[in-house]
Amino acid sequence: MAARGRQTVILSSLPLQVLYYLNGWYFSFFWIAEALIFVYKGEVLPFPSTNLASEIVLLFLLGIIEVIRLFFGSKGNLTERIISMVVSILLCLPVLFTVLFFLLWQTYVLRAEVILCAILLVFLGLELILGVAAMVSFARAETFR
Amino acid sequence: MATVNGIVPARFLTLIAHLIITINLYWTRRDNIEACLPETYTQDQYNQKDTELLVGLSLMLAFAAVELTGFFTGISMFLPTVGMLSTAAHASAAVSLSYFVFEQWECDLYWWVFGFCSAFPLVVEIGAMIAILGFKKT
Repeated sequence: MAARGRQTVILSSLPLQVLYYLNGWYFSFFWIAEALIFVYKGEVLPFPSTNLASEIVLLFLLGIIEVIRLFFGSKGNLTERIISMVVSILLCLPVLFTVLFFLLWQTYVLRAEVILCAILLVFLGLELILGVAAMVSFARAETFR
Repeated sequence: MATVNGIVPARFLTLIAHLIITINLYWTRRDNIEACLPETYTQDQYNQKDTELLVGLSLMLAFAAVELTGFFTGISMFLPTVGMLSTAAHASAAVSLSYFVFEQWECDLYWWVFGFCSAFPLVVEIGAMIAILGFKKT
């Protein structure tokens, strides 16, 4: 339905889409590794009674939030929708604090967990920067439409 | 496209696994160094081996960084041959380095892993970069 003489420019960010795609794969790897680490820690280390259960619940919550964030982010980037990008960027906050919890504040932090969480934080930071940039470019194009 | 689709995440995940185990070695390298020193050793001997291994680990991280750049910029992301070689090399690197940590291999054995599993895919990657950026081949 494009009018004559009008050009459509693709505003979706390719690096952002690559990051979302690879983050999905990395996160599934992270989640499985983290679940196995919790099995190991539960077997080997003495835990205060409620800590292990609450940390595992937090891991499941992180999985749900991260999947929603990646879904809204990649769909919002592909369809150039500002609302989806805003949802994805706002969901960065709970993900950030949950990953920081696993990195710093949980009962036992293994070396492997430090590395795993640090890589996830790198992904999160890059997606935040590129996501805001993509959202700004969508919003700017919206005003001229 | 289906075959290429599978190799891209596989290569990425093996690269990440290799990266994780390399960073882990920075903390646990003490046991490996003691394994390749004689029964009684001086601090000088230890320091020499420590420096050697530290240089090797840093080079491995740098090589992984170069490969990740080539991968993320898309230069070698969709080359099936490069992807296969890199996946195989990094998967065996991750497995053999985890043995290196758990079984406390001698630190001299590290250089074999380094040569075959880190330097070799780097050479392939740089070859691909030169072929694509230099000679505009696809």
